[in-house]
Amino acid sequence: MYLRKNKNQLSRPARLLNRFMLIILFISMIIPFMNVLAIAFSTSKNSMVPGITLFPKEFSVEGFVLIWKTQNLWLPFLNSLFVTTVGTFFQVLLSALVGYILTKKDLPFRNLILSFVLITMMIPSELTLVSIYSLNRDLGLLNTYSGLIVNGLMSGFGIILMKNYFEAIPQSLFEAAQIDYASEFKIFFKIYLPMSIPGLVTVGFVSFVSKWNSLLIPVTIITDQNKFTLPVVLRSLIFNSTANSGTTFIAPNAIMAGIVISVLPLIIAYIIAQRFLVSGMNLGSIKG
Amino acid sequence: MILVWIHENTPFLYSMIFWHVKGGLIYMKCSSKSKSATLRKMKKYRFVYIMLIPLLLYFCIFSYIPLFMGLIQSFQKSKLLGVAEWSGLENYRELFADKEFMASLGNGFVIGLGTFLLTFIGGLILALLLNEIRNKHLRSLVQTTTYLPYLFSWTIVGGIWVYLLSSHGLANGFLSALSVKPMQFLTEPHYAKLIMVLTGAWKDIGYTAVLFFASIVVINSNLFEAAQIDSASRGKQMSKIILPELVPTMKTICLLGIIGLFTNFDQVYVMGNPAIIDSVRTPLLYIFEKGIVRFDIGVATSASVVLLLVTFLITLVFHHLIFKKEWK
Amino acid sequence: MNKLTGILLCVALLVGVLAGCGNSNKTDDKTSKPTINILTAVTGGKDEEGMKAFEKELGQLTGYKINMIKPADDYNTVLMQKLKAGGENLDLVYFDQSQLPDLVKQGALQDITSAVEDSNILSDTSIIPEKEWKNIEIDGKIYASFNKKEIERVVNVNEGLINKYGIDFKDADTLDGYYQLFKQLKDKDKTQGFYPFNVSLSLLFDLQPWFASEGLKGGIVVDENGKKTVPWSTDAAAPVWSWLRKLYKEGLMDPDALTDTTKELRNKFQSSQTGVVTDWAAWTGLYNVNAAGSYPNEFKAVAHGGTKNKDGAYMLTRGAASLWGIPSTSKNAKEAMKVLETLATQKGGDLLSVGAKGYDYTDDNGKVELTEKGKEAGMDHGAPFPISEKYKSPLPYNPGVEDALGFLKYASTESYLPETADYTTIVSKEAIRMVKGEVSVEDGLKEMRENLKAKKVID
Repeated sequence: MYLRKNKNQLSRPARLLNRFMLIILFISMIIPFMNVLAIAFSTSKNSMVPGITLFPKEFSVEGFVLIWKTQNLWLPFLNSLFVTTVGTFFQVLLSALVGYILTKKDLPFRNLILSFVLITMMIPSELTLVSIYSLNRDLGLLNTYSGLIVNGLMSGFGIILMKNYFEAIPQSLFEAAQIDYASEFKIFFKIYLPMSIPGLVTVGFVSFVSKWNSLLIPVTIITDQNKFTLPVVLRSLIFNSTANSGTTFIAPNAIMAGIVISVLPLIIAYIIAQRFLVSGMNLGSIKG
Repeated sequence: MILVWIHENTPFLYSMIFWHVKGGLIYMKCSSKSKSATLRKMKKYRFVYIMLIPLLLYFCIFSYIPLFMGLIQSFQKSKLLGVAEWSGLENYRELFADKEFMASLGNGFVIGLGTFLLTFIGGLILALLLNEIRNKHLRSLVQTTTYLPYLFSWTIVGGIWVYLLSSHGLANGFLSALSVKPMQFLTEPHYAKLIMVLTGAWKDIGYTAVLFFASIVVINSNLFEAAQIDSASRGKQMSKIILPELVPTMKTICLLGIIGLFTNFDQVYVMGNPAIIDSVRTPLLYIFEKGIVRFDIGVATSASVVLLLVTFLITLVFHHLIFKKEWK
Repeated sequence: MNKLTGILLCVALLVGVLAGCGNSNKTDDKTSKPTINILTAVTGGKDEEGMKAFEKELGQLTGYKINMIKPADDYNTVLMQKLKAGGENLDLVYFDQSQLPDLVKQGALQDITSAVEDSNILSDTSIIPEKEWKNIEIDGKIYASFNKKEIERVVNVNEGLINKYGIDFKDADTLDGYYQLFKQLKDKDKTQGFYPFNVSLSLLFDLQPWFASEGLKGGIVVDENGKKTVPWSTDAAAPVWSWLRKLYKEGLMDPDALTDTTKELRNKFQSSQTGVVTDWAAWTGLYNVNAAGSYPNEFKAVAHGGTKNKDGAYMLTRGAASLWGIPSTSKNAKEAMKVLETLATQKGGDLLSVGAKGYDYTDDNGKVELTEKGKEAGMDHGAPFPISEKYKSPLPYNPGVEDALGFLKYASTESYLPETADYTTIVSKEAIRMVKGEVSVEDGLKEMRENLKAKKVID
């Protein structure tokens, strides 16, 4: 604990500069969010007034009522929540496993495997647009939750990040552990996983966000309206085609209400993730 | 049908792609050592290999098979229905004759690299600044806020920026306070790329900062302790302890950034308009316009292949420069 | 835990998830009724339940089993994927006119020319006028039939404002007449951010009512010699561009016209931040309905025809046709034609507009009433105005729509050629520069023509 007290040794001007820069960033980033909130809680009439509003003129939840009622947003919401949670869990576990394996420097073909994984990240999705559809069809994944989970179950991104976090753990620790535990798996589960909680949480969170916001796969494989996911439904509301003579009209307050609903789980997930990041700090300093 | 095809062709395709990889950056160092040593190691890790099989199979099915199907399409005459005809390099010839595509590669590179560099430096600084805030709640608040833009899709923040940069937006409010003539930022082709870079970085900074921050928090506090005994200043601690410890993370983030260099689509799709589109059209937008809007799948896939190769080459060079030591 | 457990765990993770997916086997009921698979974008029920009701009623009207497939978003991507993957047994696909030439070029659609001629309903010119078919012909052949009747974009004037300020405005009909209106509105309405006039310069088709003053039609026009021309790029168009420039310069046009999209325009007009915009005739009614209590005193959208050409006629843009085509892989072409016929009947029109009987509305001996679901759908299940000329809506339209539709006779569709995308990009780019004053109208037009020529948009 004595460490904490003395840690902050930034000089006074540096501290002021620090505060100042953070405040600027803080403001620039909070404004769009407040704008979204303000419009979401406006009446439909006020929400159409152009401009950046930071507080609703008249407080109203009619946007939320409309979007929840007419668009049945709860169903896509639950669909998204389900496939995202399950998918994230598997992705973190698998990323950690492969990442751990790839930390073994003397593993033959390690670099080959690594590049095999890396290349998958460079493939533009446009190149595979047609074949990814027929692939899912042939695997019987069209209109299934499994399809939503399996596509993108593993990503080079998660694997590389996990590998990186594991490599930060000193090799001496591994050697010490080898005496205590005979099995590699025990070392992995009992030492490496607990020591990399910040990394696991980061990878988990990043994959949670990308799965939650995923558009291409749901659009490609789902045409069953009961299995639509939230971002897809939302985007079709926002990009409601104005170029043809269609007459669907959804006021901005309802659209923003939908956006608020869709971002809420992400913010909650982030706040939870943050707590683990802090506790990870303590865990990281346990070892001697 | 695809599965059968995979079954028949995988070994061939597999060896085809890695032939080049092996010769280039990720050359396996087994020639100097005896073959038996490698075999012994392979035996030692045999369970690891068995474990890796399903995982690698996954990438084969969901990444490599579609990739090769796409490759094949790029050599075919685009036809939506009916039997596809081979057309050799016709699509590529058409592609390279299109000035718009070449321009889009340039745009994509400038915007992608600019955004990445700014995000990288900004994210690093933000992570370091966050680490200096001692008040837990305040730090949590700043951290969450700076992360917010990353959570929103471009559909939303893009729209907000279009407004902020419009004639009544905040940017012009600021200008008029400095008594500068107001301007329509998003209709100025000269500023278009800069605006994309700035707003792109603005969106991703919080996210990159989190990647750095997760690494900072695991830095062994013993190191700090030792530094404090030496009574090093905070600035020195930063440059002498934190930054060197962050090098692996930096490398990883660089690598991921370079791989994602050309992935900008949503941003320019939402924020672009006819006045500036020629200066901000990225390759993905070009492919979208060709493939989805015009159904010209042949040219669109060949453009994707070129993009893949360009990304691959840039990554290769980069990898060679940054990770050189590690491979030895 | 030993190594084997670990391996098993790993395999189980992957295989387990994969295995759970094999249960998507569709039960093909082998009844005598053929199933017609329809890929739809906007047409149909608003949710799963509404879609079922829609399928059921269309099934009753045609005698087939109807299966509507509706992608959540990115319709074009899905259309491309399904066709490229072998057609997926689709019998009808939805698309709009701008995509028709490319789809035909790619061999994706069946030629239905003779089937249309053989059909009593579709070939009846009192139901679908000859010119509608002419409009979607490709090299004299027909590859698609209609989803709905396309309406036109009219000049919407908020007469609530005009009455409030006591401005004398009947039908101005000339550029100068509208200029005077804008000037008076600007003088009297001092609301922060109010502009009398707004257009979406990046979309171009908003401008047609103003180019009418010089008798110039938008888009690419093929002249009698078969040469492609762009009338708005000729020197004859200069007065209209200068007029727009003047409006921008004098602050009568919203400066955001350079970047605004229809969405922003609608919000601004609806909230009385703009006095005059161009929008679809149906929107005149929607504006008035959305204004709720403010209509008709503070807010009243009224349709006008814009300016007249020297023959004394307005010139307006009609929407691009929204169409149904039969993929060349379909084995049920005959049945699909029957569905297309049904859409052109009174009953089919009711289904496409008001909705499914018993679900969206109730019919008590001719007394038609919308249910809650029907009200939410807003009398639009794909075709607010069905294609048939003989169609009679069982319920009245929104206030103002009837008048707005009166201008339909002045409207014509812009051509849709493969070069149209280039046309829009080039013309709107120069339009923005001219209106902003970056280039003079004269130079802007010259550059516009050069660019059009370079891209082979004009001959």
